[in-house]
Amino acid sequence: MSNRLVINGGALWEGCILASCVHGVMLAEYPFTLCENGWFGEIYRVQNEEGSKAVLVFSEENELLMGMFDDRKSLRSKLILSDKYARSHYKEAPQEIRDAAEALSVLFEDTAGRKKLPFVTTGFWEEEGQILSRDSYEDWFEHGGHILAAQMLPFEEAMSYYQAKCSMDAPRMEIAERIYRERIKSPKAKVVLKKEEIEVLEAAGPYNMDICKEVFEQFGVLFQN
Amino acid sequence: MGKTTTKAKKTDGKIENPPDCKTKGQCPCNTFERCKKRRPYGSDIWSDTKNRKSAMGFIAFDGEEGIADKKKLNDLWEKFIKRNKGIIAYNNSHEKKRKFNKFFASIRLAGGGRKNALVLPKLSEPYITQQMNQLRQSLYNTAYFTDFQRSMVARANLVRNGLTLHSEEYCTKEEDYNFPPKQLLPYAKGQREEMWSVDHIQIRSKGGCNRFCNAAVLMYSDNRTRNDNGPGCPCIDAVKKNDKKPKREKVQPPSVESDKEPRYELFVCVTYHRNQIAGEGPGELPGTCHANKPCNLDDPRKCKEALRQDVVRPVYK
Repeated sequence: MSNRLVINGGALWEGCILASCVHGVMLAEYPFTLCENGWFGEIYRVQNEEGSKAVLVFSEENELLMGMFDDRKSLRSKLILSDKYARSHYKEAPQEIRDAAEALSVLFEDTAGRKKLPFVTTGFWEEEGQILSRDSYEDWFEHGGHILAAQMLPFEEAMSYYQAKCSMDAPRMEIAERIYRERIKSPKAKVVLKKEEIEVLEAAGPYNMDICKEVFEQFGVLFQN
Repeated sequence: MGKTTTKAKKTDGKIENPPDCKTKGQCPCNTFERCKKRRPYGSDIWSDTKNRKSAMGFIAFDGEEGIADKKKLNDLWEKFIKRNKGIIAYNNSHEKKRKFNKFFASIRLAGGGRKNALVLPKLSEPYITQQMNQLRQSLYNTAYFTDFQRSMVARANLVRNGLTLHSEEYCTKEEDYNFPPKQLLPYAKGQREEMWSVDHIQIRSKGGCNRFCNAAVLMYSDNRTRNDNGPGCPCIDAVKKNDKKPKREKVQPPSVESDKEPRYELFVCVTYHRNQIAGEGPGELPGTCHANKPCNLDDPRKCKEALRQDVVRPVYK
């Protein structure tokens, strides 16, 4: 039986955008965080230092469609590693979700002996305006949802978390906040990172601006020419 | 601090020794002592003037050798940009697109071939001090290492190993979790087993803190193998939340608290939790992981000062 998860998809999208803005502004100084946050079209991917990861799929209108999680610290991770188990999280979902989940599970593959198998500890999907999961909210959070804990925080709390975790200084916090606010105000419009802002980022890591630019472009933030 | 399913009882804030501790006084257990004596990671590099200068400098490395020469790096950079421009031009006129070069992920080396590489920018002393001051607010049990800490750890490791990254050797009683030192990949475009990671020596989910003295460089895949199998903080009572599962409900609205709860809800520091319930504030936390305890000198640059004060002893190689 499916459980309804009370997740605010819109707020979560905004949280993912904030995380991406922070990631982008700090990337020049800490390039080793590159793989820890990213967008591939409407797919958002986040990974923590322990190797746990979450992937969210949004629609073009930024509505939350589905989520897939691999929590390395989950008790479930000690028990299972199979494509059958990965599929089981979406067993009660409509066919198109199940197909999408199978495609998405490629991002969760891990080596098991000679094979590569999807490593999925929990998941959810959207159906008729509701977010459903085989897990209760608590189980979902425990077995993977917590990877998105920062993305689910209200803005102020999220910023103080990022300030500490990402070692942010005031100028870069301001830049992150500015682009975040513009980005969520007009989700379809492109946001431009101003020259003086680019200079602030460049001062922290002059050789890493190229990848920084690419990462910003992933979620609609462009560098001013 | 996360909630627990264990019944909280009021405490007078006294230190609770771990179960294997026989004394009634200040905890003298080995684990506790080990934590107290361990030097902040990279103190051998950061507290030495010459090495510190190297660690603060502009560092580029490709997994095999460091690129300390800025001119050489500039040349590589120009080639890299030129190559990308070529790819852009090609993609504009062809249907089948070529992959765009990411960062230094495929620089051409003088000796041929391409290697993954990472560039760490130059740091100044005031900047590090500012970050260290900011860090003081972010040190606590079960916390992740901050990006600044990871950068400090990587820089120290690189300088120590001649601008290559090497993992630390792990020797424990459990053979499955012994890891020999290995040369590591500095950076990769995707998730790679051979990448570096900063590991919590005292396991994070068992209360290990994010001070430099609890950090070690470990290969990414070894870190995952190690998972929660290692020592915890002596002040942590590892109570699995799953021991008492709450009743399932059809629709479970998230409480504001559960949304905010970080990962360490599985394990909680019992003394801390009880003090919170009793409204007594953090009180005297057991272990050294307390802002007013000696290990607030957890600045790898200041290890020599700490040694002079006989606060820490050099057990870390």
